[in-house]
Amino acid sequence: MKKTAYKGVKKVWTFVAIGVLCYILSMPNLTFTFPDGFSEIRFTGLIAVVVGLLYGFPGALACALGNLARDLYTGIDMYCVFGFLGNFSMAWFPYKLWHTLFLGKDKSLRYLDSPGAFLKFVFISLLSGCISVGIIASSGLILGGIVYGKFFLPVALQYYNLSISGGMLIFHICTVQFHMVPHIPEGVYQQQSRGNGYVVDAVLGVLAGGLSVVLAVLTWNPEYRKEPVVMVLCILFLAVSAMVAVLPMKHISNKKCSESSVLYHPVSGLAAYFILLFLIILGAVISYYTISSFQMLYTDLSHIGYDVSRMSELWIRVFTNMAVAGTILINILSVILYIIQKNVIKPAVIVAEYAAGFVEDQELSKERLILRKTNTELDNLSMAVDHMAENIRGFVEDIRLRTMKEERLAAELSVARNIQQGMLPGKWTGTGFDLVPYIKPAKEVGGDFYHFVQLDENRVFVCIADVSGKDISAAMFMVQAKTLIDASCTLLPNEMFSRVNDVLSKNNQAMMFVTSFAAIIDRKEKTMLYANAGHNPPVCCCDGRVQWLNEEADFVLGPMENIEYHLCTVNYEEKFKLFIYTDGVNEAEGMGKEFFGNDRLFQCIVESFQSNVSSKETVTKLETNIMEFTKGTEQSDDITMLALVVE
Amino acid sequence: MKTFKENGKLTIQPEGRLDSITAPELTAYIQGETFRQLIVDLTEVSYISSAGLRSLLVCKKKSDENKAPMVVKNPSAPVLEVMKMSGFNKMLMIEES
Repeated sequence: MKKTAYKGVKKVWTFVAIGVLCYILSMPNLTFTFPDGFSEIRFTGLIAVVVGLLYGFPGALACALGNLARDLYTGIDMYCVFGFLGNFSMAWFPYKLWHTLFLGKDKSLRYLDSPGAFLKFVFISLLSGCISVGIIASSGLILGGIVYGKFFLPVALQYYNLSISGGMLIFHICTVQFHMVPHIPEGVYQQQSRGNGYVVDAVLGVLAGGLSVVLAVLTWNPEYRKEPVVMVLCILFLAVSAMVAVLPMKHISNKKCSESSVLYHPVSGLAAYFILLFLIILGAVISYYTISSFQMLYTDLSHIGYDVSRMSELWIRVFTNMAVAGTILINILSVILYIIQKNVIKPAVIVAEYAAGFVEDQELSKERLILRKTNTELDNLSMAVDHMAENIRGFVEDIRLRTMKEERLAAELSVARNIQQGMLPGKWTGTGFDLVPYIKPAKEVGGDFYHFVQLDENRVFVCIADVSGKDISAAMFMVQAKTLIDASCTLLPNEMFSRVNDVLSKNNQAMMFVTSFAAIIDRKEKTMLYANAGHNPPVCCCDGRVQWLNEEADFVLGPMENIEYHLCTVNYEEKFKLFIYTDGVNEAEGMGKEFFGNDRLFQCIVESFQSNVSSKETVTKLETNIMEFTKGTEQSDDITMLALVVE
Repeated sequence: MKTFKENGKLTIQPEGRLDSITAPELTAYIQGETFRQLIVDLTEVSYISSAGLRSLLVCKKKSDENKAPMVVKNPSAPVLEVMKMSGFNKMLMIEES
C-alpha cells in the first residue's frame, strides 16, 4: 500500500514538473512575439510530442496547464480556452495518432527503431501540428480576433520544426538513455490481428489535417475570411478534430488476449546508438541552418527597414526554410539509416543472436548461420561463427562417439578383470597355517597376482608376483605366468622359477617381465625354502625377530632365457610369520606425491607381528594405514599382499 | 629426454620419472637407432618403475642386436636400489660415478 502511495505521489510530481517545464519553455514569448501579436515563439513544441508519447492523457493535460499558466500571465481572454485546447492537442494527438495510425502492415508496438519510425514521427508531428494549431486558429476565426492563415502557418511550422529537430532526439534519449517507459494505451496491442480496425481514425485524422490546411489557404487572402463556406469548414474541422481526439482507442474484441502479449522492447544496442547519432546530427544541422538563415534574412530586412509586418514575413521564411531543410535532411538520413541497418546492424544482430542462441541451445540443433553478403568484416565474422559452430557440433559428436566406445571398452575390461580375479585362489581353507591374501586392483586390468597351495598337511606353497605394465598385454602375460607357476608349484621355488622363466622368455619381443617371490613353508621341518625373482623383499618374523629378507635378488622372469635362481632357506625354532606384498604397497602415493615407503611398511609389520595378532588383522591394519596415507588420491597400482602365520 | 650421438656412440639421457608415461618415448626412440655403443645415463632420473625397467630391457635387446655394448650410467640411489632389488644389476652393466 505504501509503495502505491509513493508511486502516486511520484507521478503527481512528474506532472507538476512537466507543467513547470512547459511554463519555462514558453517564457521567450514576450521577447519574440510573432507579427500582429497573435502568438509568439514557444519552445514547448520540443517536448509536447515527447510528453504525449511518454505519459498519454495526464501528460498532455500537464502540458496544456503549463501553457495556460503562461497565457493567463500575459492576459485573460477567450483565446485562453482555445489555447488550452490547442496546447492539450499538441501532446494528445501525437499519442493518439502514434497508436492508431500505422503506415505499413506492421501494427506492432514500436518506437524510434527504424527509418520508417522516423518518417512516422515526422508525419505525426506534421498532422498533430496542423490539427492543434488549427484548433486555436479556428477559434480566432470564429471569435474574429485572429487571421487564421497568418496565425496558422508560422505556429504550425514552429511546432513541426521543434518536434522533428529536437523532440525526436529528446524522446530517444528519454527511452534509451534514461530508460523511461512510454505509456502504452490499454487494449490496442492485445489483439493478435487488428486488421483495419483503425481506418476510421486514420481517415478522420488525415481529414482534420487536410481541413486545417485548406482553411489556412482559404483565409490567407483576408477577403475570404468572412465567407460562410469558411465558417462551415471551420466548424466541420473542429467537429472532426474533436472526433479524432475522443474516438476510443480500445477496440472491443471477442478474443481475450493476455496482457503479456503487449511487451515493450526499448530500442537497444547498435541500432540505438546509430539512431542517437543521426538525431544529434539532425538537430545540430537544423539548428545551425536556422540560426544562419535567420541571421541572413535579418540582415536583409534591416537593409530595407524594420517594421512589424516585415518581421512576420521574416519568421515565416525562417520557419519555412527550417521545415524544408529538416524534412529533406530526415529523408536523407532515413535512407542512410536504412542502408546501415540493412548492411551493418541487422547482420550484426543476426550473428550475435545466432551465437547467443547457439550457446544456450543444449542440443546444438541450431541450423547453419546464413547471412546475405555485406562485403564488410561482418562476412568474415559470420563465416567464422558458422564455422566454429560447425566445428563444435563435430567435436561434440566425436566426443559422444568416443565416450560410447570408451564405455564399451571399460565394460569389456571389467569383464576381463573379473575373469582375472577369478583365477586367484579365494579364501584359505587349509589347515595348520593362518593365511590371508589381499588384493585391491587399480582401475585398469592389472598384473598383480598371488597364489597359494597346500602341498600336504605340513607344507604350503605361497607366491606373489607383479607383471610390468598395467595394460591388456600385462594382464595376458600375468595369465600365462600364473598358469605356469600353478603347474610347477610342487618343484623347489628356484627350479620352478627357472622353468617358468624358460617358457616366458620364448617369444617375448615386448620384453615384458614378472617379478615374483615364491616360498614353501614346512611347519614340521620348521623351515622356509624360497626364491626371489627380482621382487620386493618380504618381511618375516622368526621367533619374535622381524627382518627383511633382502639378500640380493635374482633377475626377473621373462626377458632372458637360462637363468639360474638361488634357493634360500630360513629356519626357525617356534614361531614363524611371513608378509609378502607388491610395490603397490610401498609405492602407494600420498597427497604430496610421496610414497608410503619401506619404513612405514616395516613399522606396521613390526607392530602387528610383535603383538601376535592374526593374519587377518595384520592385513587389515596395513590396509587401513595405506588408505589413510593415500586419502584423496586415486589408486594408481594394484595393491596386493599376503600374510601368513604358522600355527 | 636428451640424446647425443658421436662416432657410433649413442648416449641417452632420460629425465625425471622413468615410468609408464615416459618410458614409451625411450622405447620408441631406440627402435629406429643403430649404434656401436650405447650409454643410458640415468643421472637425471629420480624414479624408475617397472615400465622404466622394461624400457631398459628393450634398449639392452636392441644393443644385443647391434652387437654393441650397453652401459647404464650413474643411477641415483633410489633407482639403483630398484635395480638391485629386481636383479637388473646382474644383467645390465652399471657404472656408478
